[in-house]
Amino acid sequence: MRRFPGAWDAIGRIGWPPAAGHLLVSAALLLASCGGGDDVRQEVVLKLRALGVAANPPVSSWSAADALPNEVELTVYAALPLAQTAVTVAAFKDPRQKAPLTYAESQILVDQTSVKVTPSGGLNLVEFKAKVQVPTLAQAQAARALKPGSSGGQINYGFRLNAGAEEELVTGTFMAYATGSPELSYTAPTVEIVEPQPGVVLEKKVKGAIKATVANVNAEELKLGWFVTGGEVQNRRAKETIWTRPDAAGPQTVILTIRGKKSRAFSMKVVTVTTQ
Amino acid sequence: MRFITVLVAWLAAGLTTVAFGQSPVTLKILEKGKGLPLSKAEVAVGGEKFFSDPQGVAKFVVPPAGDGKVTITKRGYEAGEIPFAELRPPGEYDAYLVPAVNDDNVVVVRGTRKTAVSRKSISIQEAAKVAPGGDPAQVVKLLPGVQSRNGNQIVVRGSGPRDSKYYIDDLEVPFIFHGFGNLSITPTPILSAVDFEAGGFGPEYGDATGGVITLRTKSEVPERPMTQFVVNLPFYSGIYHERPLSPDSGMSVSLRRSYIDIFIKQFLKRSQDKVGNVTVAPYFGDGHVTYFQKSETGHVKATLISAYDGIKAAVPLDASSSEDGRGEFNTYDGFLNVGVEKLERLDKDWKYVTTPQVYYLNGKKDILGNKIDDTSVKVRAPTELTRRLGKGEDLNVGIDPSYQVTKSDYHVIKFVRDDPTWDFEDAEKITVKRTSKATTLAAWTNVDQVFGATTLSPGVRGYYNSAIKRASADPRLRAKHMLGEGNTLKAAFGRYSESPQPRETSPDFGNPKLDFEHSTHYVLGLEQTWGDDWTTDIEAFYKTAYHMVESDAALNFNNSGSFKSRGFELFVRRNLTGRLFGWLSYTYSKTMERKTDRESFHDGRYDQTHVVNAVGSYKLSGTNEVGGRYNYHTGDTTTSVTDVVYNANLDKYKGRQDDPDASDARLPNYNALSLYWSHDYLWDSWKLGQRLGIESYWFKPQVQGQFYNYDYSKKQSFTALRAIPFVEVRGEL
Repeated sequence: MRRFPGAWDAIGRIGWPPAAGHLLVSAALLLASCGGGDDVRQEVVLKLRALGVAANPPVSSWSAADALPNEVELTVYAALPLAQTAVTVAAFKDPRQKAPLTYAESQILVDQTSVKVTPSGGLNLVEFKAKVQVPTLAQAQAARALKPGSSGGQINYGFRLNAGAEEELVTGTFMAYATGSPELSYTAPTVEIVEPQPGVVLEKKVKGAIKATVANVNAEELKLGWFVTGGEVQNRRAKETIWTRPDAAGPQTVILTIRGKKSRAFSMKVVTVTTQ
Repeated sequence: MRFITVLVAWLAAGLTTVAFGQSPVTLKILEKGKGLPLSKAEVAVGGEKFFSDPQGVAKFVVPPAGDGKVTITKRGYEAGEIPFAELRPPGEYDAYLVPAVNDDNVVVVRGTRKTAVSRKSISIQEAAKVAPGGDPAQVVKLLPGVQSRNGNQIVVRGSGPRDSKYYIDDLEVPFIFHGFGNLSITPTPILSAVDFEAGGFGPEYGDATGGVITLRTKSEVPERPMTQFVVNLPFYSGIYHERPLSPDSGMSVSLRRSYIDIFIKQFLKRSQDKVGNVTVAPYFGDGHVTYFQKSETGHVKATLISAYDGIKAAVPLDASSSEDGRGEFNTYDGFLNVGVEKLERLDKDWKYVTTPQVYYLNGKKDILGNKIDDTSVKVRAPTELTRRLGKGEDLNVGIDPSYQVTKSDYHVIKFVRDDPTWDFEDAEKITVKRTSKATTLAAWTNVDQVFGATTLSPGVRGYYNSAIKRASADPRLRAKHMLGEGNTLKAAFGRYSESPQPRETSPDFGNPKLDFEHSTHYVLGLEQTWGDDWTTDIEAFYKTAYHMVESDAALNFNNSGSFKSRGFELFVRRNLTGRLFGWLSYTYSKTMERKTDRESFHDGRYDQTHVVNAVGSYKLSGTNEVGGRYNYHTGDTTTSVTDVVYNANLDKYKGRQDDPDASDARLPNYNALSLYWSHDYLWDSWKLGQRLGIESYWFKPQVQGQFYNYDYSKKQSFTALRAIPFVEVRGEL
């Protein structure tokens, strides 16, 4: 009985179901929808949703053994429907996380005074900050947390967000490198939403392009993610795609997030428009 | 009574000078649609009877005047009549007989090793009537003991698809089904039978803990040159040709290529508004060349067979990190096997068969930037020597040496399956270039001995694999006992072993210290025949498997896994006689597995508790046939997600499972009904056959799989279309 070993084989030699011909097409359609034909689409914010976590600095250096530890400020972004305004936040340690450099809840200092819930178009944006201390290189080496042939290692954090009965467990990592590593000059990739322009009035229930420009400052693999208050985004990972606007008049929010896969850096842009 | 087409080949100039009533009529009797001469056809003229010779020729005298008719009959053909008037003046005429419902030309031969306990042998004529897509090799999916999964995967009594062996005669092949299109890798005309052993097989087969599927090809010289083409919409086209080269030799050649990608491309283009920029281009092809030479003492059969499967796709993908939001897939699997089978009867007691072969295998995958390129060349020479000891008694001795060189070039993510926080999108990548060599040696012996009504077949297979530097031996015992006319009690017991896969023993990401996987089979059954038309076969089985390869966080892999499977199978069959043919197959099985001895058993990943296949065909006439299949199986197992976190680095939710192999839930039970109608249009020396129908229909969409929505808050079902209509046209010249 082949289990894991067949994983690549399973991917490579895909076992098409019996109704192969049309299932092949169905599979294409399924993938094409990016949410798998989901009636609750991933890009639509209908409940408490994490958007991303930005580290400052985006990439850190290991703390020196003979000095105060380096600190990283983590800014957590989330979104809420307009009707929800109350959010509680806390540190979280994933009980399944076995990676050596993982912060305990007590090591993540959440600044409760920084929690902000700000209306933005058709939703509320949530933002709060927390601080963590970066381990030393010796600690990382002792924990065998460095990537092979590199002075870099990833450090794991987590947050728990609650809004009423809804809960979002957010996990993530930032990178640390030895002093002098070129990766320390990494900055966050940035995006600009060029379409739609902020404040424009758009016809509801109509398809329209949404476009962005991307600055890949670190020349790394990037992952984009569109969020909207309603309607349907054809490909939420594409820089340019189609937004079928919601069948509702009123303020709408379009958010584009971007992350660097190597740097783990994050940034986002928000545009508000009106449909009528 | 059908009218017979009569072609007049009147040798006018000469015959007009011959007096009517004196000269005989020379009537050549041929098969309609093929143009083959029919010998021993009875020609009745008045009160006299004549018979056609081997060239199909009958000579007789027709009265120069008066009414009357000539009647032609032959078993397996519709009788024909020719008025005397159409045979005047005497000369040379052709008469074509149309095949009848009771086509006795079809001879179903079931040659099988005497003590094969769980073997089902289906002739090509039978299989072609009921198999999915009319492709005989697919008939295996309809036999007891098989849990067909995801279309082309064969699960045998709980053992996974890779735990079974696939052969074309003695040529080893990596797969016998193309990835889609309900098509096997061999054209139908070269096949003679499909053999399937669900377990308890003899020591002649090794390196398999599941079952053995063998496509048997013809060992005969073609009667005449024949060309067949097939146009299958929307999947593929192919051409096949066979011809005799001499009275003792012949050859065949075939080529097939898919074009489903063109249809899908057009479909996706038209749907671009809805699905966006999607490319999906699956493709497949195959070909073969066979040369056959018979002699008084045996034959030589040289075969080249090749097949490939692949898909190119670029689809919007949540895991995409490209600016167009698409992910690219490009996979290819292909092989070419060249072998020569030599069968030689040395005297009345001794014979041998050997099939030296060279086997080239290439697999390339480029999936989201992960690249795998495996190329293997394997040289193998299975050889079997048989000595007849007495009536029904044989001694068999065989060897199966092989040498394999594999070149691997990988740039892939490193799987860490036991880490629930692992994600392929940001997994560590490894680059490996390695050439590995492995020698396997196997030797086996088996003896069939008769003790009254009982035949016992003890045997043993010893083997060595240099990749893991280990050797072992598997004892096996099979028995059949005649209870009386048409009733046979049968039993089998044995150990079966399988080498770890090359990747599992890789020093780079495997464990070279792995051992063989082992399985023990126990089978008890009763075969009964009920007159000429019906047979039944009931088997109970119990199978344990141990030392199964499992992932291991520290060692990459270990031999800690095990599973057990038990159940029974019922096979009720209406033989291919008259108008009706078909069978009912029911399998009850329960497969439980566990990853280590410290865990308790849970439902196996391949468990399908109940599997029913009812197949049948009915001849409306010699050229018209309807048929169908009904398939049912218990829903496939799935494993539920137990908790979810949001990965801020990847903007995705990650569902985790306490045990990824827990198989704690099931898909809904599966039903499918397939119906077809086939009709042959006959011309004198060629025919055109059409086959149309629907595949996999049910009254509501059947669930093929389940997946979670983006944040794992909801399970959703993946359903197939309710039916696939198909049209296939075959021509035979």
